[in-house]
Amino acid sequence: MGIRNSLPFRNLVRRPGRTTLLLILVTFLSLSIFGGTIITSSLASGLASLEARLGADVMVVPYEAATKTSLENIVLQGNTGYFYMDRSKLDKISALEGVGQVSAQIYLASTSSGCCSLPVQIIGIDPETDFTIQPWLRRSYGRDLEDLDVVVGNDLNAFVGDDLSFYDVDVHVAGKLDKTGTYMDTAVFCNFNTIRAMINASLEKNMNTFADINPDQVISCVMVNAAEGYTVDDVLAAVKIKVKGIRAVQTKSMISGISQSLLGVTDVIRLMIVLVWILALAIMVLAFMLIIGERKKEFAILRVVGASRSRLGGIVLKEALMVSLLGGLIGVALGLVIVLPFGSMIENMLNLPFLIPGPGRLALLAVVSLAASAAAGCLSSVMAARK
Amino acid sequence: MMAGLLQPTEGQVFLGDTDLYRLDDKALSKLRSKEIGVIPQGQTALYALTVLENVLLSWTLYPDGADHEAEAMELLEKVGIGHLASSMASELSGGEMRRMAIARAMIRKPSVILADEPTGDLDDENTQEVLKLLKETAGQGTAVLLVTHEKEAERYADILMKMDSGRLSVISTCENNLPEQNCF
Repeated sequence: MGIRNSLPFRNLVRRPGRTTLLLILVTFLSLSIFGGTIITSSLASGLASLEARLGADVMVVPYEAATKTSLENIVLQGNTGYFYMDRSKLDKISALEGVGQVSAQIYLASTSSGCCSLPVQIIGIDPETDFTIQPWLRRSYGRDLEDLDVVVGNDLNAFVGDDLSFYDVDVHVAGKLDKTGTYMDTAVFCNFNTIRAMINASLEKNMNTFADINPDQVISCVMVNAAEGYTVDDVLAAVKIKVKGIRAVQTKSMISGISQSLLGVTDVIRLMIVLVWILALAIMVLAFMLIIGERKKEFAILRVVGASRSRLGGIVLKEALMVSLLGGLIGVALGLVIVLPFGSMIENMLNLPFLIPGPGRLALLAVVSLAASAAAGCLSSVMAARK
Repeated sequence: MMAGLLQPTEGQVFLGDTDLYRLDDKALSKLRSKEIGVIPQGQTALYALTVLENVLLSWTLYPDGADHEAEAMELLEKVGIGHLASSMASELSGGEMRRMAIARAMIRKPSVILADEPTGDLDDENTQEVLKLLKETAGQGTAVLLVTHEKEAERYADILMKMDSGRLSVISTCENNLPEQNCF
């Protein structure tokens, strides 16, 4: 017998009011589980992505840059900013005992650009030595950055082949990064020659807050990895003692604040998911109890024509399963429609790195949400039937 | 109790050689579906189903792979509501619903039909029709046990029994050939 001819299916279709009420309940449950899990997963992926992309044990910045409004704002919040120190600091740090990989970066913020309504962060890297951003650039771009070539973050409204102008320096978009859920999504990357040309142009136009710098002699930060056999603390201590006028920051400690916020937010969301599940389960048990009470006469007729007790239970269970699966699917679809397009809005609201999981993980989350909804539907019908 | 729906506190209920209450619920339910047609008192339709689906309910629960729609239609014609086959049960009048319950009880050609006040809410004409139908069914080899307050039913019974203060007594059988009995 086809499902359309089955008794549970006909009962559901021909009792639209009752079925719609149950569907709304399960849809709400599934939406909260799926949507909530996407948000918590995206936050966790965002943090993991940020950790991976910082990629250095220690960041060394000018002393005045190590405040909330500069370094962390740029790296963690994706705001724009720039600061400089003499490039000799790079040589001093490189020469320290315990220092392994070392690479400098130069920052600049655009006033406006063709791609964006807001200023963007421009990051100059040294392709020869860079070990933090280059791996990700290579993955999206495939080769070293040429002069006047830029690679743009995923959230910027610029595409490969576009020509952009920063401080009247014309650059060519040679690549676009994959989504990272971090500050890199709104940044523009270029090599040292290109960013120095932009700094020069900004100085000539009196648009740089640092009027007396020599672009060829400055850097913004130094990324440092500890050499084998040395701990991060060893390197941190050596840099702090031997190099003056700088602030060395352990990247892990920079992220720890964000991890704490993330834990707080994800704990609240998880608690809400559990509460919604329990609440929906209780409401559904009540709804099924009312429905079963209302249907006592119907069940008596079924008994009269030969339905066994287990058969009656099966009918109720099948109805619950059908409603739960359909409601679950609608909830998952709504979750995709609501959460995916508004990912960046959620990111801004929470002010935390946010990277929506890939299709595979999304599919897994959808299956789990569907299973949880179906379980709640079936469980509540069984609990109601037993009472 | 006779339909295998209510466990007796004492005694046994036999259908042929089968002691009903020695069967488990599953086997008893299957037996009831096949051998015992019940016409309960009151309005006993599944309102989410059509008239035809209500009549075929037993076959829906225990399908045998065959299509029994033609038999159901024949029964519905017989009880006079063939034209209502595709109507929803909720659209029927009390009398029509009663006829539908009779057709539903007869669809599996059971050994026994237990009818509880089958003419309770019918007018005189319909009462005659239903009683004739049950008598006809009895004539085809089905035992029909009818519980009723309907005096008219006496004319159709082979055996008349009376329940008085909890005691059941035989008043007459066709062998007595009473004038009020319409014995075949």
